[in-house]
Amino acid sequence: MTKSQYYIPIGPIHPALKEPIRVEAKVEGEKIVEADVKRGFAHRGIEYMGMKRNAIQALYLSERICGICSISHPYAFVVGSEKALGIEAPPRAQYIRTIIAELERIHSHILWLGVVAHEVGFDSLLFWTWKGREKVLDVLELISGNRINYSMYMIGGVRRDLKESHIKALKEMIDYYRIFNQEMKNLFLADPVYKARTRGVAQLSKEMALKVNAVGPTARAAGLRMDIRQDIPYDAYADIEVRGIVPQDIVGEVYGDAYDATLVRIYEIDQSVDIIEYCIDNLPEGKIMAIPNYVVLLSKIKRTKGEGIGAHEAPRGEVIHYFKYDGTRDGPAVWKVVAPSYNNINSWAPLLLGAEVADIPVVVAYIDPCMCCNDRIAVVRDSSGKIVDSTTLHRMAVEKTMRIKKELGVKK
Amino acid sequence: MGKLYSFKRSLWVFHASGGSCNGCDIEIIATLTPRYDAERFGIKLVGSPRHADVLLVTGAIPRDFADKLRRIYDQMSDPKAVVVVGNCGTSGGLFYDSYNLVGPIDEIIPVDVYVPGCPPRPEAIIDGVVKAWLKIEKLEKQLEGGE
Amino acid sequence: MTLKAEEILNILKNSLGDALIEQEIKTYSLGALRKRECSEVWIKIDRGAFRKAVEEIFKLDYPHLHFITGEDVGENLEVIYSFGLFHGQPGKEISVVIKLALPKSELVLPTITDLMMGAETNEREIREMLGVEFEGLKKKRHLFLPDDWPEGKYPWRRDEFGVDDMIKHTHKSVKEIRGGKE
Repeated sequence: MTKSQYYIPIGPIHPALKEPIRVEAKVEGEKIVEADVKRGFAHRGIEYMGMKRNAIQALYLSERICGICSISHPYAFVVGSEKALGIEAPPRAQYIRTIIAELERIHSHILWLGVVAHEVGFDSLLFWTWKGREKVLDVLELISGNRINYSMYMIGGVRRDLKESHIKALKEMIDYYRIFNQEMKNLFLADPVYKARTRGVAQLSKEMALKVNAVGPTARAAGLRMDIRQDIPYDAYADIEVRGIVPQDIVGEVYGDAYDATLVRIYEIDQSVDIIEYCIDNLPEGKIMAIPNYVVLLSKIKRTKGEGIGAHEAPRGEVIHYFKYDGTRDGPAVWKVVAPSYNNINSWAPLLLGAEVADIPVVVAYIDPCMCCNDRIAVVRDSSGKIVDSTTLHRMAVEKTMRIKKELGVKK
Repeated sequence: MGKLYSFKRSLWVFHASGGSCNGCDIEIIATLTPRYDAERFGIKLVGSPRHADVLLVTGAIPRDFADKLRRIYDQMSDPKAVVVVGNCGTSGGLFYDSYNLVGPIDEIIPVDVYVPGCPPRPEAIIDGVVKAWLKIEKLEKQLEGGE
Repeated sequence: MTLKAEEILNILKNSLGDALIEQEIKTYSLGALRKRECSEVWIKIDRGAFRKAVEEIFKLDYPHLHFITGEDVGENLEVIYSFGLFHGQPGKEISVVIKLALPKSELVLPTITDLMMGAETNEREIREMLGVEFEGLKKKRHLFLPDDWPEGKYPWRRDEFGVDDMIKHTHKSVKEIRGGKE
């Protein structure tokens, strides 16, 4: 019996959230023989625009690369630019930067956990986690004036100082999240339904994670102990011995699956809370900007030649910015941005290859930290050419999960 | 019963993200969650444009997204309203000189309500959807008066 | 096993010989109250020795590819690779940055996707943004740019292959400032 090949596009429009992306798979019966990920539905040419603007304008542009990591890109931007230009931020500014970055990690991880809850069909958990997320957004709004896109960083410092009232709100928030995170551990990690739905799903081995260049929690869930805050410590992270959180340290074994990814993220919230507490207890006094005048800063940039690489561990993985200032313009001559999902999406194709149609939603949903919703516009045809609806697709996904579980011998 | 009967009931909203930075998109989700709880007004996100009364669009619309946005708009049944969320969809905003963007959105599909902000607060998004509602009601009155 | 930046540079020096054109070790002190040294190895090599240099790096440790980028510098394109070695060990990661000049008449480089699968994304991006061909790269479809992107247009190029004529200005005032006469 010959099997004809069918082409399955998924995306690029997802109803609920995240940027558009498209997974295209060729299937033979149930088996995927070719998978391609088409990106670029959100390609705005930011690097090109940044190379035409001055450094401060480009910094604001970098904030709009991603609205969720809206402080990670500016962080890598300022670290890279400071390396290239030979500017050093005052200690107080470095501590404030670290606090803001960790606040963002908390909000981003809770966001992800809520979306995962939505994917497993546990919508009340989505609403509950997002209710908890509002607390950190309130604190960020109090400090920076905006819920998202905080505009806190500047080359050589930060733009706003932390006041006594902010410290008080931060301390209150720390107490809140100590309790909230404990509840999250109970709801996610101890829940048998959640475990059954995620254990053994979208498994990425350590070797594969290395090969596809995976970063951040996706790599750490696979057992790779990599974290920019630990490998190339910068700012206040250099004062604190930050260590990457890997599942083998917590439960003693690594599966590299969606459950491990959840585990890593929940424990990282604990770590972030500890880092924030350390930073506010040891916050140095002093200036917050190395060069407070923007005109002076821009003219220094115009006079300076240099290159630098800035790296920051964003909630989803490492963000790398490369800069070259050529001494003729007040902006970067070359600017290259590598975001975490740029690398993590690499893992989709190998995980899909040889897998089955039912795996597409599973792989796309669990591996990518930039999650997208399952109920996207998709036309899926089975081998008889009949259109498979989303309910059937979902049932197939559940069956596949059960089978993988059996094959891997996952315990209850 | 007026022609725009469906707008007297709960508003169902479809959200299309076209090259936005996710900032607006997560604020749209935040609008639905307990703090803001848009569902108490009957506003609900749906998974298909064919079910939707209102189209929320975010982002500055990259080159190959424009025809997809047009298709989403065509798939929606009448009467329909379009709400643009965020600065970059409203006017291009920060992305004013890119090679891969074809926005602002009102050059691609007709827009009824603009919600500026980078990103707009959830309250502003709810207000935008309510404004779309009011606009449709006004339109309905005109239609009924004309009949 | 970890090596210091100087040791990495020596290994590269021995194996590349004359192909190593420029070399530099950049040291930064990072951190607020407790400073830490962090080193980066920056080398400029002849394009013929590129594959050898990469293989040498893979022999030391399985690296993490930070980025590939490039700059249009008139006659040549300067392509820049950055690898992170010894990641996963606290404070020990060292970036090795390789630069090479490619004449615009011959924009070809060997692929590294056989050594590292994940480099495909980076190579496909450079291919569409700067027009560098990678020998052995299998998937050549546009990744970030639309499928119907015009032939011979590369966004990061500053010559006649650039995209300056494709820009859409959404603000009139900006058009006046940037375009001048339009």
